[in-house]
Amino acid sequence: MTVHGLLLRRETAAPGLLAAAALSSAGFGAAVGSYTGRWQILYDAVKMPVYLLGTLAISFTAMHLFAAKDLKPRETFAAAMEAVALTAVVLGALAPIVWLMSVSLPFSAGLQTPRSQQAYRLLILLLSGSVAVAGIAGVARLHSRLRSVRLTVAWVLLYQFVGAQMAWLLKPWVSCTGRDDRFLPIRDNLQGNFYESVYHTFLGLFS
Amino acid sequence: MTLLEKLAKDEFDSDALRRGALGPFSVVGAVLRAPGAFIRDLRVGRNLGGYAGSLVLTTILFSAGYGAILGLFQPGVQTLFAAAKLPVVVLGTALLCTPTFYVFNGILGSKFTFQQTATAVLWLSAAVALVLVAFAPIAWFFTVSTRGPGFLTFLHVFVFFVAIAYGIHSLNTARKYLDHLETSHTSIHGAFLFLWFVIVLFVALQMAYYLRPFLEPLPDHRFFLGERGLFLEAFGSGVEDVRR
Repeated sequence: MTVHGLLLRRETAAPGLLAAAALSSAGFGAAVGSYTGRWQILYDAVKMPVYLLGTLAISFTAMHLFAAKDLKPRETFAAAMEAVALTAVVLGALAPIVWLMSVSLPFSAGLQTPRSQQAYRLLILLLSGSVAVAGIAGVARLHSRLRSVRLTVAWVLLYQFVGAQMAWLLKPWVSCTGRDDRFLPIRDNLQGNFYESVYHTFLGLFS
Repeated sequence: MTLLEKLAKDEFDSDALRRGALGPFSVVGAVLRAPGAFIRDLRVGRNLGGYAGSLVLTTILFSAGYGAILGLFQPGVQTLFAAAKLPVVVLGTALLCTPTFYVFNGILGSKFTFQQTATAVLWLSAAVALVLVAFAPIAWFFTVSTRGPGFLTFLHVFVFFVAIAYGIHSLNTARKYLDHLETSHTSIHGAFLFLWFVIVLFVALQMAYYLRPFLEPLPDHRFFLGERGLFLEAFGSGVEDVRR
């Protein structure tokens, strides 16, 4: 019922949205984790809701700063939660298709073979594409609710700024080692951050 | 008489279908002769449970029938395997793609509930299975009278192509009639429907490729090869076979 209300743009209570976002994104996480299998299914099912909702929690106060002139904190939270919940529900809807690809694309222990490396890249592309489509749906909903280009752009930039680092911190998602032996290698993930990595990759292009 | 006028005259007793008074396959009559009545029921959410049950049964048994004929190329356990695999592909594809259809249509302005969406998708799968079973006698005739797999593969691909085209036509007709009945909003978004058909085709081909083989049994009589791969590889090897 919550999901139907969300799709039809009816007023939906925050706890319902929170539950829908958590369950849908957990489903998508489990589908992505199915490629590596076993524990990675559970790892990603936990990480995906943490990624979406954790990013919202961390960026909320800064988001509200931009909206404080027009909205009360409760209204800011409702608008942001609606957009995040819709993003998660779109991901949940794509989960069965991602699951099929995860369990049927070539896989080898340690991802040693060229075929499994190609499948790994394809899966990363599918994962990024799904998140992009879901993100577009979320942003469109946010804009229709806020009716302010300035505020929508500010919120999206803030959410993305934090979200990119959150995704970096929570890696591995697909596990490039082809093993389910790392839930959260926090020591590795704290080496550098997303933006430093992008900077070094960029420099690497010219060296 | 235009298509919309014909659809408006369609009649089907879905109350009797729900009560079980018409027999399990009676929905076939609605698919073939009275799609308009089904679409009107779909719009108001009337007797959807009765429809869904009959559509699922029709999809499973009709596609299993055609699957058995695929497997008759080398009769034996492969006949049973192929009869079990084809319903998994047809119904499995429909089920895997239903959430996408529901959520994206909802975002694009549809008011369909999940149950209405699922019934519409089952309508598509039953239409596909119906064409398969209609071609089954011809496919059987060629299966028992042909030795090599080359021509049969071509024949089956052709039948699947016709079945998918009919399925697309059925759902697109539903979209047109719903647009006609519903003036305030769209129930099925036109442009998205065609994008969704591409996704359905992609999923069906990938599932069928994963569950291969359908025609010739494996040497050790396993249910399926279990070798992972992207379905596009089949086209690659097909081109190489032709080159040789």
